[in-house]
Amino acid sequence: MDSWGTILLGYGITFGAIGVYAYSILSRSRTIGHELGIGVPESSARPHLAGPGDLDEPDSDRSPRR
Amino acid sequence: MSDHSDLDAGPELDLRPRTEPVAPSEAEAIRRQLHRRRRRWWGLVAALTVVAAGLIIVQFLRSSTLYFRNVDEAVAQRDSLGTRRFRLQGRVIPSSVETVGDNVRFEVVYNCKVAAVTQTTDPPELFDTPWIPVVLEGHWISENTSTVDGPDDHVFLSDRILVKHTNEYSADNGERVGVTLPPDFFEGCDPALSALVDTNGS
Amino acid sequence: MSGASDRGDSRHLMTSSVATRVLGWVGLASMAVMALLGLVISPRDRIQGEAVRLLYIHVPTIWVAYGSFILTAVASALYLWRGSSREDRGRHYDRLAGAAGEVAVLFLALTLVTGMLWGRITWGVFWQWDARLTTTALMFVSYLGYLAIRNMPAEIEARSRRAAIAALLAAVNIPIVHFSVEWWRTLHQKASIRSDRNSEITGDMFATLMFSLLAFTLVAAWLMIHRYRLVRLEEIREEEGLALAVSARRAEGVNA
Repeated sequence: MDSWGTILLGYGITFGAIGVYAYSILSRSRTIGHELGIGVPESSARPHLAGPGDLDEPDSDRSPRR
Repeated sequence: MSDHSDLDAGPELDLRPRTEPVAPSEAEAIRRQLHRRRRRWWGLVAALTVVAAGLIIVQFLRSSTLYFRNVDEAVAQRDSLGTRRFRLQGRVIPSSVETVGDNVRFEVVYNCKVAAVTQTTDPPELFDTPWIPVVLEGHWISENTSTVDGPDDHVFLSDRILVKHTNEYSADNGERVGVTLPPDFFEGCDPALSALVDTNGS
Repeated sequence: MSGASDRGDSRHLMTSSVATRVLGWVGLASMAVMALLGLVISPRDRIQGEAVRLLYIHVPTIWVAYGSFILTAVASALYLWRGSSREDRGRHYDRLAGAAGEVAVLFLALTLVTGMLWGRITWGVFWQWDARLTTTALMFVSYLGYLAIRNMPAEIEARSRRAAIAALLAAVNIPIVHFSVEWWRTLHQKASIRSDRNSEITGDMFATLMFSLLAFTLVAAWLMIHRYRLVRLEEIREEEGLALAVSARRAEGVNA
């Protein structure tokens, strides 16, 4: 039996799920922040991330911190 | 109404202050309308969790209030158990394991009692570990056999084997060794059984 | 952050600050180190072989889940007990309970998944209805119910009160899950780290487990803080959404 495959699957699911959850929190926060006109002040958002098109950034899902 | 009165009415409406308090009943009605769909959806989720919780409890009561019987209990209850299916727990005696045709035959021991087992399905990898505790699913059958503890007229016919791995962990240093037996595991047993410990690591 | 100081209140509403960004990066880095320790540096187990590596995610995820569920219970109790006398009407406690509860459900789900995978390669099966697995499944479902109650729209104080009571009811199961391996016969092994006797895990394995616990705790803290802030944003949006709907309705009523 290939236990390595199962082990890597376990690590992959764990890290993947945490990453997806973190990303969903940040993107929902940003969406609501835009709707309400708060939440993404220029100081915390990198300029290219401040616009509504920031979700299309190719690297935006790999770096959950803003 | 004339056009003029309409024009007059327009600005008048716009002047109504936006911050004017809304009657509680009106706000409540709008809130309800906004919430109705979301509430129906989450109500469904809540109902499903109640159903799931019920199913889990039923499953538990059916199968695991007494999850397994130890070898000594299963031997003592042979008459009342008959050919009923149950789970049997014991440690595999390393020197007893042999392959017979498609089956694996071995003996399990717990509380100084030994039972012969015929296993009809493939055991998991960890089964090869000397003195590993296992949980077997099956029933007693009448069959003359002999175990390390002497002759016996019953064999446990098992079609499912689970390795009950322990909570001891230590680094692999390349040696093939068994699990650590509790120091009192063979306490008070027949000397023939206690002597089996020497076969540890066979 | 200095540039945002003139924005006053909004600083507290957005979901990142210097502190949480540092926490986030440290958490991310420690998860990378954890993966290295767990998958590469730590030794094979004498009996289980490589399968022991699942221990380093299975055990920390359930510890984080326990801790977060306890936080949910404490915050819920505080909400019911002290909420009404506080200036914010207990909103802080309610948000804390909700954020911790959601993070806990995520980590408990991961405990179940990694446990099933681990079971497959050691026991030989994904699942057995023994006491530990059954009570854990029940805990997962009961907290899903808690989240459902939280998300069921209602007047905010009624919703918070309902959720807090549900959280306290669900918390009854926490000690039952933990002690199930002592109280019943189970396929699941007993606790790996115990206070009443020497731990059954030592050396590099123990160090890896402890580091992993730290890494998962940092990540969970980061998630919880951001989830808390998101709860607050959602509350504001709900209030504003309602105000907009009311004024839209009024306009409709006038035009009709």
